[in-house]
Amino acid sequence: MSRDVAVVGVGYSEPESFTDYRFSTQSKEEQAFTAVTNALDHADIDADDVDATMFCTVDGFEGTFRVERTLEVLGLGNDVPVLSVNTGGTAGGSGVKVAHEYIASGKYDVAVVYGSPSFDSVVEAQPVMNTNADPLFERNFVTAIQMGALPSSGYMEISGATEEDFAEVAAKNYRAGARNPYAHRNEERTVEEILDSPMVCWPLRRAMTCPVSSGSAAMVVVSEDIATDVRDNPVWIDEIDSTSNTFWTGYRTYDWFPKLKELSDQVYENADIDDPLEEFDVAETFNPYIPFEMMEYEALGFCEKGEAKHLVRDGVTDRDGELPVNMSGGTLCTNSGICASLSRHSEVVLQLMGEAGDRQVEGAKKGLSHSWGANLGQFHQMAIFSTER
Amino acid sequence: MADELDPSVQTDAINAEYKYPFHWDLDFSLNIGEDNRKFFEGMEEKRILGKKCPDCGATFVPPQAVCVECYVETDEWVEVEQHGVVESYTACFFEFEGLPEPPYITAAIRVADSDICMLHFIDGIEYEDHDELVEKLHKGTEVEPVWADEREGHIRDIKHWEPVEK
Ligand SMILES: [Zn+2]
Repeated sequence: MSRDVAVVGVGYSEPESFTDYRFSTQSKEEQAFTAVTNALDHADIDADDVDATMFCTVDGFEGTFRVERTLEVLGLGNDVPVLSVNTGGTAGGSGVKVAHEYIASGKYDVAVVYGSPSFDSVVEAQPVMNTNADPLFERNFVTAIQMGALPSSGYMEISGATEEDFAEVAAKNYRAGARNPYAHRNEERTVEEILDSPMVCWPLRRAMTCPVSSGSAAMVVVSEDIATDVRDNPVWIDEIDSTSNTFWTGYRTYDWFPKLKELSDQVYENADIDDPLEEFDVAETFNPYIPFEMMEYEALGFCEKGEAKHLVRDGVTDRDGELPVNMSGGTLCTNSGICASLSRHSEVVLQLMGEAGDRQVEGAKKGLSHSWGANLGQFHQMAIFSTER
Repeated sequence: MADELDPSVQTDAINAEYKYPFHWDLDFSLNIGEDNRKFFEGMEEKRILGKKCPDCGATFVPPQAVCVECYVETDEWVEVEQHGVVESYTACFFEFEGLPEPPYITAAIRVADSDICMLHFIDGIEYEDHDELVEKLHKGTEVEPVWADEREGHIRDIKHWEPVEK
């Protein structure tokens, strides 16, 4: 048995909670209650009707191995499983996939996926992130920023993409973030300002890397009968899948994301997508380090390998372009925590519901979301959403 | 442009009345297994060892116990040439806990004919800023190891790699 599955509700914690994690004052329980309540209200579904929950985070940041404790606020009965999902930066997307598979199978009817404000509670995020690399060999030479910089630098060498191209993509994200009340960074920045920001790790300047953010997200995923019952504009999950690389980063290609290309080929074949640039109306991709967005255009088939610079220079992925990408402001501007990987999916859902506020792309009917996670892209996650099934 | 809080500002220093600091002090000791033990023993003797896959013939430096492509155990040890090629690199200009004083270069280095890369530092290049560095270091630059005088069976027994004098 396999049933169609839809998203019927999306909720975030309060706009003010999308801030530098050091300014955050709410407890994890308070943020979870707000985001989950907002998602359930948006879906017009009672907490009593939820029959499975997925808690998504990266464990080390939470200061406990009982990370899923915050979902106690759902007030669930004895028979509701709370499943903890940790696949690094793809944890939120993996949570949606788990929810999708459970509901498609007929096992459950209503699932809540929750993306934690992971970073709230660390004093410094970098030493925790550093535990993500192999301890004997690789941890001695890198922290998270090098994991972003190594493929970015290699990509520049093979593609001819420039610092100015990266700054253009970043400026597009800042413009988008300025329209999003749930963006941590919500002021526009010019290409010049971005190129003036300090060089952290070649070729990544501070304004090209995500900050450490607070804020949480929740999503309500349901079976087909419930979807059409609770709202007129459910968003259907056409296809959702994930892939894994080795834990060791020594196996990676250091100049783009071939594993994501393999995944997107498979996902597009399953979903009958021939020309993603033409067929999608909106896309959200994982861009905590801004050059990733360009590598992702190529791996996601928006253009040939090495050609993303032309999409950027021609404005193809800007608001008024053929395929607006990251109209939320992306991971760069919205939230860098695990909420970020669920937000890629929730933002596409809001676009397809026509409820994305100032960031709405008019008439969006089909959208793509992607997330990237763990040490140098150990994981990739993709989903295709549609207004029709 | 929007001002952002400096990375050096501690979270406890902001909205302190909402914070409850605690410390999680845990020690770990990993079992490294036979292959890693043997590799590090080689490092003490200034030798770089790899392992080969019996099915596809791939060489792994550092050694891998299993070829993930073929899903078979590697079985043949080889001592490889002390020569590497840079696949990608980055120079870091900010200080991070547990890493060297900036600036320093981290690279993915393909050692000898290895199918995988080793992450390590590159030094021995003079540069004032990134513009000067990118003129001097590239994907494909050949490098060789510089060994530490005191070695203790650790990946840092190689102090760093540096470009081969041509
Ligand atoms: Zn093999």
